[in-house]
Amino acid sequence: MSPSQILSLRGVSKFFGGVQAVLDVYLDVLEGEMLGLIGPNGAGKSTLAKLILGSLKPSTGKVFFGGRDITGLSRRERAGLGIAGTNQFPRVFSSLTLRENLEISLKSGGGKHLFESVAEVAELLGLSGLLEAQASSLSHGQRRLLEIGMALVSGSRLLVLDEPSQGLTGGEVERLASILTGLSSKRLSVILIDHRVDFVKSLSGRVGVMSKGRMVALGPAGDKGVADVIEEVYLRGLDAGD
Amino acid sequence: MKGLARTIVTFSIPAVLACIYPILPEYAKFFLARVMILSVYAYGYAICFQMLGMLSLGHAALFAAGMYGAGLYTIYASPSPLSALLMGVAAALAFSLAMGLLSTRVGGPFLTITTLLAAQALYLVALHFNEITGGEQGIVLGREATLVWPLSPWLGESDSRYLFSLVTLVIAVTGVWALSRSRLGKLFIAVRDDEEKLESLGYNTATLKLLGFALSGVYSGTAGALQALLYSYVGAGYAGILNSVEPVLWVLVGGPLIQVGPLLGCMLVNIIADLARGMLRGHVLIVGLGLVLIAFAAGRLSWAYRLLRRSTGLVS
Repeated sequence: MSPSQILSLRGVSKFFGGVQAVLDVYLDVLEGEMLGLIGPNGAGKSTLAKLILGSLKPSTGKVFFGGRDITGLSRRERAGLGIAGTNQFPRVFSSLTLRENLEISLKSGGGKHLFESVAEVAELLGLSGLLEAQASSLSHGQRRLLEIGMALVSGSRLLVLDEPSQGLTGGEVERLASILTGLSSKRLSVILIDHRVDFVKSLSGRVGVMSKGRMVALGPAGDKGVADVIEEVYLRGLDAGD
Repeated sequence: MKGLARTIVTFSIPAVLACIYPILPEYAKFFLARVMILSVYAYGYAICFQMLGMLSLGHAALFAAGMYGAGLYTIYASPSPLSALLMGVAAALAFSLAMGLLSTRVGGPFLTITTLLAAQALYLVALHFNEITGGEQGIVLGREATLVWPLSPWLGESDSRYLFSLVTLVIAVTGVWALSRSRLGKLFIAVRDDEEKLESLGYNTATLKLLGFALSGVYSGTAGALQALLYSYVGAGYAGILNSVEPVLWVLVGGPLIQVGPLLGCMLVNIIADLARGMLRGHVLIVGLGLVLIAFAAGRLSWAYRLLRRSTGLVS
């Protein structure tokens, strides 16, 4: 593994009974890179995110982080190494205030902290005026941004965002795009999983395309070959091997 | 402002209890002293149930561990009440760690069942070793072993008992008030809200739950030890299921503000039960009816809680 690779998946597969959710995926994520991951429903993107975060263990294959085999580590242990993520449906601590949610996250992770204070990240998220609001009173979009903020302040080196634009308004998606663009200066690696193809392509250096559990294409966001596979997968629902 | 409001609400009932003390008749002093001790138990239970979201039905065992630890120490080791108090708290801490190690790993309904079975086991042990524990009949402790005895020449027995209970209650309330404002308290609430999410942020939630259970055990054990050392009696009845169910009711009746709810709920339920004590098994009846009513009115109550929270900014 080259020194600039932060995450490496080697032949990772996940089976649920007889169903293959992820099949033989090889993937390298570079330090400071934003890698997009797209594919239709049921392509295996969220399962792959869970395999990276440690919520699921692979049936076969290995996961390496910073050159270390982390296949057997739990989600908590991976968080301690600096792997953070958000969920398809935002999960925050509803009874606590926005400030308390961020404070808990700020002191949790084991990696280098990208933000020095809760106020700094709240400013970035555009939620400064809501610091004392209880999380249960926030809108869906605000909860989504809060969860991203919690991942950002948790000392992460790799951020896995699963459908971050889901349920957001146009304005909130723009805000999210601007936040993610701003992260490029922080040397944080991001895996961006989303249904909005243009959103992912505009933010990512490389894009991976998944279909039926396989990684059917991986290359620069503007690459014509990748664009053709995206079209094929979305419009005709085909596997690259079909 | 919210912080000041929380502080005023938190200490308002203990302040009232301190102010009315000189004008209280003897029976009221006796009764309220007992309610204050039970409130310490209620606060302990609230740490486990209200903050961490763990529905234990075995806290009677932690109360009884404190009671037997203190009471049996005065009988078989030394009549020193202060050492006995410490021994009671230590016994409850040890028992809560053992019970917590078993139950907090499983969580949910399994935690409830595990704690219930552990408490029943202690209850049966207390009955089995009748000659040591006094069984269901219990043992009356020597007068010199009580905490009120050294003070009684100056204050009288009931005044000493009342003031001792009040001081303990103030310490317990202050502890919960500080906990609710602390980072540890926020982490306990985060465990209740979404344990898996907290785990994904790198926290060891098993340790947090065990810590909360042990802290809850210290409160419950302190109440149990005081029960023995202020009322000169230990008995297996305190390890029974009713003593595990009652704090659930107190906490639910008391409402969502953990700083004041357990005390309020414990006082309300016990005052109503005391008024109904002329009825056959009136106390048990009140507890049972209370639980049924709460289950029935849960929707309306949660509406009231949300309204109170929105209107006052006071949160548990």
